[in-house]
Amino acid sequence: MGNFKRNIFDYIIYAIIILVCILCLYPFIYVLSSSLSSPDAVASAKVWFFPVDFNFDAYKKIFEDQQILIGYANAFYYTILGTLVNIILTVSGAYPLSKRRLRGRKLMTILITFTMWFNAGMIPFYLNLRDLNLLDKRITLIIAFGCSAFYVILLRTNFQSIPEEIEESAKIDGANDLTILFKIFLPLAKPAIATVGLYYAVSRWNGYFWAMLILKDPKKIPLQVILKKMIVEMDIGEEAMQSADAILSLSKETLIFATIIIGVIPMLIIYPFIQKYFEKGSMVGSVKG
Amino acid sequence: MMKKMMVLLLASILMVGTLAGCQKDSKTENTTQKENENEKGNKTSKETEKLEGHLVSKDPVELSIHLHLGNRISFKDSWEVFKKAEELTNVKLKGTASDSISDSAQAFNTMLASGDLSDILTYSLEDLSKYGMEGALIPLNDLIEEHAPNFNKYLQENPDVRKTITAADGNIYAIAFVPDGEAAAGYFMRTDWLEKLNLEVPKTVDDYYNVLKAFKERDPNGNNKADEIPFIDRGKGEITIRLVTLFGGHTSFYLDGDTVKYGPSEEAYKIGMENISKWYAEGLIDPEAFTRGSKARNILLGDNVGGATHDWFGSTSTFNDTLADKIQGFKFEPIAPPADINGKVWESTIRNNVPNKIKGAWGISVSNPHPVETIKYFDFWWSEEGRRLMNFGIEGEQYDLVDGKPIFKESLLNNDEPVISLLEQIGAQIQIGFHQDFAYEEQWMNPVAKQGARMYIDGKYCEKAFPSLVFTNEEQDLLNEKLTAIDTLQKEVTQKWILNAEDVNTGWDKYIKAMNNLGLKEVLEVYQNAYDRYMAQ
Amino acid sequence: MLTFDRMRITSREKGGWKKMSNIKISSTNKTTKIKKKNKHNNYFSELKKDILRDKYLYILIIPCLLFYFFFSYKPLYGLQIAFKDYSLFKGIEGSPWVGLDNFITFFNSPYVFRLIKNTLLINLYGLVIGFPIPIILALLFNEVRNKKFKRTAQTISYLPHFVSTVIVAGLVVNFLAPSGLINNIIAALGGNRTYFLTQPEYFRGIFTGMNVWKESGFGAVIYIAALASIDPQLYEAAVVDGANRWKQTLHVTIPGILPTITIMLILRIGKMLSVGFESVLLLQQPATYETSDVISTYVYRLAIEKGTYDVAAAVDLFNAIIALILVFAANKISKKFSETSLW
Repeated sequence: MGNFKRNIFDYIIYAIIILVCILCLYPFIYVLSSSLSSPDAVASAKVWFFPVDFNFDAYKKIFEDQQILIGYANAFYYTILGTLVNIILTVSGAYPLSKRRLRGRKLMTILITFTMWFNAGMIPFYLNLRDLNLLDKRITLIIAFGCSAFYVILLRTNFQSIPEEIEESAKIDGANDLTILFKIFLPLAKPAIATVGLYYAVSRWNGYFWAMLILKDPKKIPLQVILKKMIVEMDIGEEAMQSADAILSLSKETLIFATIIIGVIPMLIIYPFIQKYFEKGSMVGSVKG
Repeated sequence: MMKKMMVLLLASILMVGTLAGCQKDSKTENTTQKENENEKGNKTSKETEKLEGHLVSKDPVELSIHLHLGNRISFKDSWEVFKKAEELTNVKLKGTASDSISDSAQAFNTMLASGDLSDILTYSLEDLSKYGMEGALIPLNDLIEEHAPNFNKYLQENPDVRKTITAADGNIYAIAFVPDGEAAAGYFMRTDWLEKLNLEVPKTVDDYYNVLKAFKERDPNGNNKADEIPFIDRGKGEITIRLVTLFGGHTSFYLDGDTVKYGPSEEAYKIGMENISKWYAEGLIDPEAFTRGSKARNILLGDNVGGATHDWFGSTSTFNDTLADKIQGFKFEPIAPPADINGKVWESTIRNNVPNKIKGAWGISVSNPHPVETIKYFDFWWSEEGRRLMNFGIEGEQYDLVDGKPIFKESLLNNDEPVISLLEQIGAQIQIGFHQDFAYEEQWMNPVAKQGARMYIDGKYCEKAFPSLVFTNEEQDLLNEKLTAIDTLQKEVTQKWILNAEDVNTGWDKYIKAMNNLGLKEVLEVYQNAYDRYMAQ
Repeated sequence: MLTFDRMRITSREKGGWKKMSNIKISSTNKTTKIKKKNKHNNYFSELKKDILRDKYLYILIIPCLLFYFFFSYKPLYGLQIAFKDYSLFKGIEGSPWVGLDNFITFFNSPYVFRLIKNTLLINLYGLVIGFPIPIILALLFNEVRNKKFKRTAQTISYLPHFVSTVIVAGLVVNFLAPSGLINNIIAALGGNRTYFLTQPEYFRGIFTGMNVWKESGFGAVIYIAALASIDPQLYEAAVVDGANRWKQTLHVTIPGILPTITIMLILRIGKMLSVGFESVLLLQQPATYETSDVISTYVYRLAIEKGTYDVAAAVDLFNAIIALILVFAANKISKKFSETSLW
């Protein structure tokens, strides 16, 4: 009787998950199909599921465009390097804060979380960067967005849930805080670090606003800035409506969809690699030892 | 413990704040430095001798220019038109705005906030005047009189323009882009459907109603389905609301003689709403008008169900070309405005009436070391040669002079890319302070559009534009405070009326009362004062 | 010779140093001054001892703190904008103080109650519906045996996050149009077609629905990771005790991710007054202003008119203060009922 119940349960769960997948897959399919359709079909809203007038024109145009390829490369640069810096800063912030014996812990936690709600706004942040002589530099994007208090807290919570016995036994064996961090905490917190790394990576990959404001040199701009430019160019003002040009810019829509797809693909590829950290059993054997 | 912490926290923040604030305001330092240079520059240029042709200075002058318009166009040093201007004037421009920014406002604001003002600032007339009054730009009145003969002449012949570009303190801070060619948008209709149903082009608003009804009921697209959508709207409802003009109404501020009135609070608007909501209820207007969006024409005309609209001549006429193969006999043509319920034939849109935010203008920033050379450079574009350069491009490349008139080359007109796009790529038709020439557009205008524009211009249908008024800071503050709320109310209630979610007859009085509570009367007073000042100039 | 006035006996209990008792050992008048000095000495020497003991921890945290100093605290002087009549040209220094005028401008708006109410309600919907769904999703994924299916499903579920809001909103508008998919289904079932996006009563549901659709899969990742950190031995123990799957979920899984859920909840509560304006703007219609107009969209319209950074800054500051209060409250409550708290 226990078995039978399990099966029904399983089917229901599978059914729900499949439904969720269908719902979540749809927008992606829409974008994919639109990128493979003719501009005309897209403009007259003929594309719903399958491509209409199947063609690879939009993709051809993209790979001919130097700017887009440069943007792609830059995006990788900022994302990979940036995420690395993010993780280092976040871990180095979360680990000490997870130790209750640390003096000043409460103050430091408050100082850091305070920044989640209080920020001075766009102009002062921009002026600050200017004063620090950090405008139009690649390094700025990497370090000025180096840490998010939200993830520091998340990681701290995770570190805190690691049983103290493990740490104590390591200390008895003569380990100091650093060794404990590297040998014990980091391996145990792999899922959390992977999650935080993923979220940072995604937000860097998708981020365009500050890249747009800080960077002037076209050789430094990442993909999303270019994409945003294309989308805005499509949204032409009233005055341009006086010319026939207006209609033709609607035909650039397929280009936008194609750029979105090639922008999403790295994210698609990266997730399965992260997923292995989400497998159960990362803590096996730790308490026993 | 908590208290201690809080005190510590506050103390550290205050410390940081004062430390940071203690930085010398580098901005004021910069500007005073540059102002001193300005004076020097002024002195030396007064001594220059008369120069040949359009030359502005004996030695080459380089100026930095911030130009980022329409969220997509930033100044490119490679623009041929400006290179040609450099040859002729000896003034070279270097662009400072980033090409990757897709927001002109951000580009301008960050430049302004950073304190590094470019020598020439290009932005909307309204904002340049506002910052000019704060000291970011120098007044041009005297400079224009002494060193800009071409533009000065134009101003004398067109006092309205002078009034428009003069800020509230009496100074001119920027020279604006002046469009040419009045006709902007007009009424369009499937004239082939009229023929099919044996109907005349509607001459009055009642005729118009009957025609729309016929489109709905008599299946002009011949597919035995009542799927026709007589009136389509690409503007998320704005075009539908504009139908109040057929009932003598206005959608915003307008002039009744010399009195400023607010269209949405007038009786005519009420009548308009009664009718429009009736038309909507009868299915004469696209039921999805409010959400259909910018592709409305592509979708509904393309599906052979759209019957009529009110839209820009240029872009709307192209559908005659693109849909010629797909739909047999497709003819979507401009018709004269039907006479409104008072018998008046008029068109509410006119090119010059484009809101200030889109219109470009340029001025001389306070840190510009060569104001005299700059104003002379500005004036170059108002000379015949300069105007032609900015409108048509470079002789021999984009056009040839035939009988003294610039005629575009065939290669330009028959290109896959539209003419306006090709011109923008070389730096022509950029909204700096110059006078557009409609002739440039007529050469590549779709013949249907051309015919429509001519009809409206010759028939003098377009109502004179509501003047762009300038307000003092106090007036501006009041408007800021009250206009957003008034606007919110107007939009919300209007949409509900059209959707028949609320009844305009029973709701009108309450609506007017609410308007007055929100301060409509004060707003009208402010506008009236500004207008009176404008007229008195 | 030093005599100790009090001896601090401390004990490490439940992860915190707690004062156990103050025991007076000896006290004479002669030693009063020395007592005071000793107390000082004690404090500083304790401090020094602790810092030395934790030296690596302090070293580790310095880069992080430096980052926050340079990039978060240093620009904070910009908060002044909220109290000034800010002009981009005059700069922060050159702009005049106007005290609370900007706040008054915002609060004087005839619509201010409606704006706050809508913002709160939309967030409430988001909290009640949008918050549990990623958790439930993660739990569902957790039950799937087939690794391949699980991984694929997870990847698919997090895709909508990457499709920009503009496009997703466009899809929502299309589906809900009178001639769209949803209405077609309704009509087929014999109902009336409704122009959903122009009717105020539907807005919150539609907006929440769109967010859930877009963000749940991505939001589930945190919980999926948390689930992975649960010690499988706890499950084994539960099975040994005879717990079935449901009991296991109740007694092992959920408690295992409770700290994560708690922190996420506290932080989410802090966001009760902010709703991103872009996504609302895309679905908003004037006819639905009474439920759809939120603080951020109104400020956006205000700024469009005159680039009012100062009023926007004032509203942001107001939001931040309210958020802080809410988070404080949530944190205190959480401390009472669980071991997890923000600080």
